[in-house]
Amino acid sequence: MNKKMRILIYSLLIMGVGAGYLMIEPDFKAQAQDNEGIKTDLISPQDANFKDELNDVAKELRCPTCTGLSVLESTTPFSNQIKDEVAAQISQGKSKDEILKYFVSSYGPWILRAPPMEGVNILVWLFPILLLTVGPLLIYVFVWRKKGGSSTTKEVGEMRTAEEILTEMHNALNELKKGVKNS
Amino acid sequence: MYAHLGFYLMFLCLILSIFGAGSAFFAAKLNDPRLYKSSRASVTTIFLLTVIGAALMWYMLYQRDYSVAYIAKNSSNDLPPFYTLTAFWSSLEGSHFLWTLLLSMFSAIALWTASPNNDHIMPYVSLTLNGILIWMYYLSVSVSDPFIVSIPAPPNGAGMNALLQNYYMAFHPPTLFTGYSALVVPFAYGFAALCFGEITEGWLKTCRRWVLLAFTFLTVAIVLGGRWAYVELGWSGYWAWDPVENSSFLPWLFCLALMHSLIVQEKLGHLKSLTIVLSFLAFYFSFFGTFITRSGVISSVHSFAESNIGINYFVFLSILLFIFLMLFATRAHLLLPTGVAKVWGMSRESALALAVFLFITFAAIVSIGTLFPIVSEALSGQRVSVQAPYFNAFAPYIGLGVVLLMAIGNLMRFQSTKLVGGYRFQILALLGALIPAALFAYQGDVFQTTRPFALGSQIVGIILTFWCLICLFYDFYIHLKDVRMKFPVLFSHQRGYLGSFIAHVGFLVAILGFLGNFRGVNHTATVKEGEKISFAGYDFDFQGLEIRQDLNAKIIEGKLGIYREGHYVGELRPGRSQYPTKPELMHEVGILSFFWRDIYGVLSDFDREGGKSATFELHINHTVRFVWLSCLLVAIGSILAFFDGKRGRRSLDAFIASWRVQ
Repeated sequence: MNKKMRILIYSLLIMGVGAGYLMIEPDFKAQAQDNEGIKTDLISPQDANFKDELNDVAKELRCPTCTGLSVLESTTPFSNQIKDEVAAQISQGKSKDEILKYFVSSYGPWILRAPPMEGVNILVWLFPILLLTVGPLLIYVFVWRKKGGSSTTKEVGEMRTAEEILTEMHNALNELKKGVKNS
Repeated sequence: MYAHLGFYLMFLCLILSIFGAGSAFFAAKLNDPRLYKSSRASVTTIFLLTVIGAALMWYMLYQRDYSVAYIAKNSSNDLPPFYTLTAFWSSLEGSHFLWTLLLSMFSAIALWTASPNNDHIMPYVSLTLNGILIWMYYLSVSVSDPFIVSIPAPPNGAGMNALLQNYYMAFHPPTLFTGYSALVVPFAYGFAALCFGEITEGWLKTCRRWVLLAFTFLTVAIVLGGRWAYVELGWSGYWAWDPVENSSFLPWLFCLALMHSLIVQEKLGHLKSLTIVLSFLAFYFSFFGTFITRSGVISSVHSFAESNIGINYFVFLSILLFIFLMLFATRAHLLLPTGVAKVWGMSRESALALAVFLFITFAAIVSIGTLFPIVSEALSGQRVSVQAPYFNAFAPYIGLGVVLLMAIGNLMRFQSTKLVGGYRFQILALLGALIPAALFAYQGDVFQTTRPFALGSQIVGIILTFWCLICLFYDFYIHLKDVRMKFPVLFSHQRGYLGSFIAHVGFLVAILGFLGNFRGVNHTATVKEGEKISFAGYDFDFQGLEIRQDLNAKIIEGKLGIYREGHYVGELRPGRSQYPTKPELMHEVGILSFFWRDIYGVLSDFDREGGKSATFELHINHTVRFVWLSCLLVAIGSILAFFDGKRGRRSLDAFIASWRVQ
């Protein structure tokens, strides 16, 4: 077996082991289940709605004491306080916009996880949109339509015809033969 | 005593790197290979001295020599041996030192393994590498000195940050710094090509290899970092668009763009200056990320230690940018594209160029988002946060563009308007994608998504991803057919293609993973011992709290038996841990991982008096395993491509210019 085949087999083995690791599922042992003491935690549709709404708002507010996380994801006391406040306001029947506005008025726009689209902040939203729309246009105008072959390219020698290449190779072979004879 | 020796070694390295840069400069000026050899010798010596310095550091760590300020800060008597090893890089000075060590190692490797075809540019390469080393050793002896001695030594250290006492943190930083350090070589070659005014024959092969190496390590490092966040932080996610995550993501993106523009350069001799710019940016952003996160410009969870390193970084980055811009402005016109006819248009090179554009755009968006809080504060004095919702507003569109380009681009060929398989195949592939997409949506519980827009985009995304997978496999079939269905031939002659195929599949697997766990399902409940929580089709049976000792930590665990339709499926042991030197309780999440979903439990709170009740936060995270699997595939793919000895040996321009039969 040559070296390349060995490498191939090893890499396939590694892949196999990796895939195998991902396929492993613990066996489902059937066990008697006692139905006593189940905490019935069925969520009524109304509650589910409430939770969705709460998550929706909490997702947009940053955890003031951590970086990168929303109050929904964090469990710091400050975040929990905000979550409670949001829950209270939702049960008062306030809409998402109203609640967010309330938080902005008391903490400043900093509390929102994405800057509001106003003032200087509009820049941060416009920039990606501009890039994504104008960029391809620029590429089209400056690269695509130019199609290469302009005067700014480097001379890399003429392409030779097949006959020329053949004669060159013949010459080279003759040279080599001469070299063998001489030595 | 050893600390003084370590400092002395660093200082020696600084002097040697200045000498190396000087001799490399004169080697280039006077065209004298002996001077170049002397600069190479100085880099080698620097590497060896740094290894000794690192060995000293580890020795002192194991001796628990608290007279060294760094060790007193990051270690303590209770620290297990394994984490004593990793305490080396658990804070700023140590990570810098590790980075320096790896940079000197790769510099030495790059100089010793250089191809003879690159001989004319090697003095410039050595000059650049030495220049970077000067900066790193300057840091090591000034603002980021790991060997500072503070006497009297405290009786015990302050202890390692508890978040870092995790298996993944042992591997994530070295992998990341390996990736960062490997980027220095393409950067140095780019600089050298600009200085020399020509891309030499061995240039592309060398760059290609180093870029692939860096890319492999960066990918693995980023996923390891995500995995660390997933198992350690307890918020059931792995990517938060945190500034530090972004700063590791940016070099990765530029590395990816560089890889794709290198292909165009190899095949057609175009996009040369873009390649040089990207090799600069990839390397530059590895430092830039460190600057914005460690200097305290943007505070972050990762800023474990902030020092007044900021101003030094600022000066260094400005000088580097200035030098590069001056050099690029004066020399870039020398790197002309080859006069290959029939380039661009509807062909693979255009798809590659567009992909590069998308990667750069994504990088621009991420960096703007990361930096905007500073900009906004400077412009209007208003403090704003730019977090996940902002990035998530754009990332899906970039992902969509990448998937579309990947499907079409792989079926295109260079300098040809023909689409392999034609449009008929596209329709068939789209139809064929419906079946696996339906299976995936069913297994991943996609239809539980309630909001129509989210559901719609998820489904469209899944179908498109499978369509792209089918296109990739079809292209693979075509390649295999070209070698008469002999896989070993493909393996030995087209390893680069094979690697790219696997890596692309890996990328799509990751996209599937993201699409699947786009919406997590979670539930919080407080239960008493013996009670059950029913959630998402599972029953969680709370069997009580347990306390156990794990190495140096005391762990309080809640035992949850998990049942599905009366069948026992496993056990979850989420807990909180207490480390001897830290007052706060850390999360020890419980994860029960299946192929399609992870059951993820966090012990949010527990009854500290009687120990009979606890509050659990339970998450069902779908298809998370796909994300980890994708990392494996991408790594295998890029390693395979790395070992393709045939690729890049002769890029098109060098090929025609040097092909003489004489």
